[in-house]
Amino acid sequence: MTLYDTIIEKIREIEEKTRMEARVTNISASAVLTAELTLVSTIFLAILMIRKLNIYIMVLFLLLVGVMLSSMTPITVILRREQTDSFYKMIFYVILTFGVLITLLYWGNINV
Amino acid sequence: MKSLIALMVILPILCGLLLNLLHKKDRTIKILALTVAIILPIIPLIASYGVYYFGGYPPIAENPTIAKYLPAYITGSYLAKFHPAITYIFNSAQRIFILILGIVAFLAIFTSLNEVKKPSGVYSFLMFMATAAVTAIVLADDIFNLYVFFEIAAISQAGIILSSNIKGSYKMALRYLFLGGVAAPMLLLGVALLLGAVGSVNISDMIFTMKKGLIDPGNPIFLTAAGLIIFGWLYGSGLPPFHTIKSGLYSKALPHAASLIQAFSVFTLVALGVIILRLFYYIPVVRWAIIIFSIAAMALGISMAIMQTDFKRLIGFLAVGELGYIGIGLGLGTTMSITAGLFQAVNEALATACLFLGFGTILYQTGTSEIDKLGGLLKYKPGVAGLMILAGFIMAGIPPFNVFQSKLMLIESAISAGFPELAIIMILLSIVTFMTFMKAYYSIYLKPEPRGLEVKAERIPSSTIFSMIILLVICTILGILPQLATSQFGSITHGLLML
Repeated sequence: MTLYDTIIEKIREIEEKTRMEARVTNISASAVLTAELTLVSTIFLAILMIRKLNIYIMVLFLLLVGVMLSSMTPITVILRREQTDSFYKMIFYVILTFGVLITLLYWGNINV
Repeated sequence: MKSLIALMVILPILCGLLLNLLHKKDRTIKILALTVAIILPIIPLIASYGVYYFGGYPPIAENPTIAKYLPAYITGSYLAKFHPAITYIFNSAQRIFILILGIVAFLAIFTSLNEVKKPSGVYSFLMFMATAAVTAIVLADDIFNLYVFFEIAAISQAGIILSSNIKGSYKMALRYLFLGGVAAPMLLLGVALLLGAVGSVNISDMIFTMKKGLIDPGNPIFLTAAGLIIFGWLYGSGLPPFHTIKSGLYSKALPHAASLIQAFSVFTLVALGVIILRLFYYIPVVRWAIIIFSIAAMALGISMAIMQTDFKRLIGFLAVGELGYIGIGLGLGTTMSITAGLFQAVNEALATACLFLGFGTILYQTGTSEIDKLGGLLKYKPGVAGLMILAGFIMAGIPPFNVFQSKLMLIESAISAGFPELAIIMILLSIVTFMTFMKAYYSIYLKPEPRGLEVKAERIPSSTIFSMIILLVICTILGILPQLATSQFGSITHGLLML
């Protein structure tokens, strides 16, 4: 099954789950595919920046994220499911980000 | 003319309070609101540069009348240089930010007053209060005063959404306030930690103590404060994880209100971003954090935008995505990148305002924002469709417009700073922004008109077209003569890099 077919199938699944009536058009399929490719390329390009800190950590991240992405593709579907107007999801990500931010700022300066 | 610095904040507050009292006196509301809205962009043009002390109390070192009555252990210490009063700083950079904010506010208020026969004094009050609050955030050199206006801006924005009468606006505004209930106290806690560490809430005093070695910027209290203030910054500007709520907020606002609220987000991002850089420039992880959140905003905002089927939400996500470019400029921390980031902020405030107003014309014509239900609108108002495509070209960064100039500067500065990956990300996401806009434009204007679509072409208010033309003209002028804006940012960039 190609990536395109996988994406179309996943969109159908999501639409069935959420009882959406919209059809999967050429435009919506190409939009999801573009979003998928954009996200994947941006993540890989962003990881390359870690070379400024440590090249080995960068390689490790590339491998880890590569494996994760290959098992999770298409990630736009997950993204779409998570980036909704649900207050519970919003507050979950807000608190998660807060924890990560404070930990990184504190730990990143004290212990590195 | 230094008193005009305070007037930039006081005038819209006074006007807002009066409008609130004059509710239901339609003609008076229109005249008063329009007069003050016209004055708002004029004040920064005629005000002199300088520092304004509320209450008239400069630091003791600059005030010999008070200093002669004080003991030597105070006048001879660093305390003499501290700022006892709430301080506003007005330089060339603040001038251009407040000028652009004033123009967008004027156009939004003008459009709002022309759209309705009976203007709401309360609604105009909220728009003026939020404008005053964001102006104060741009001017403030006092971080506690900044926090107070940060809260006022958030509450006023929620009020604007509540007043929009759009389905779901109540829920969205309340969610925004609930999330603010988590983020804003964290910002206040950050301010409290800084106050505890330094003994002053004045930002210049904090930097002074660091420069003199009186406080170690690497100490845990300072680092925690940095994290808390960055968290507040993410909320105020709508960077991840607040991008979903911010884009939702834009989609539940009336088009003119959305154009104003996005300008609030842009200038809050810039003002707080510059303060974070001023305070924590010594901590490299802070600039890394700014870059990471900016990349996340760009990637998530633009990827989510392309998948939307509601054009108001689409433009909301695009607006959030474009904020990332400003953050990258600030995060790279070089003279060129900061200038480019600030220029991008000015450009985005103008271009996104134009797009929101433009998409509003489709709502007037059809009453729907669902892209799937639209099509073939080009034949009804080809002039408006022409303005819309220009606005989309501007946002995507097509020459010769202003966003092209700022994005080019950002790409060049990323390469100069040794981050070619960032340059590629910015190019890639600009292309996707263009594609997103063209997808929406095709679906709304070019594809065959769907059956059952009712179009009322006569309903577009002329004030909306006027506002769009003004914004497009400014974008074109700044695209041809970018130095009109970029030359104004020296006060900020030099101040930051002299630290």
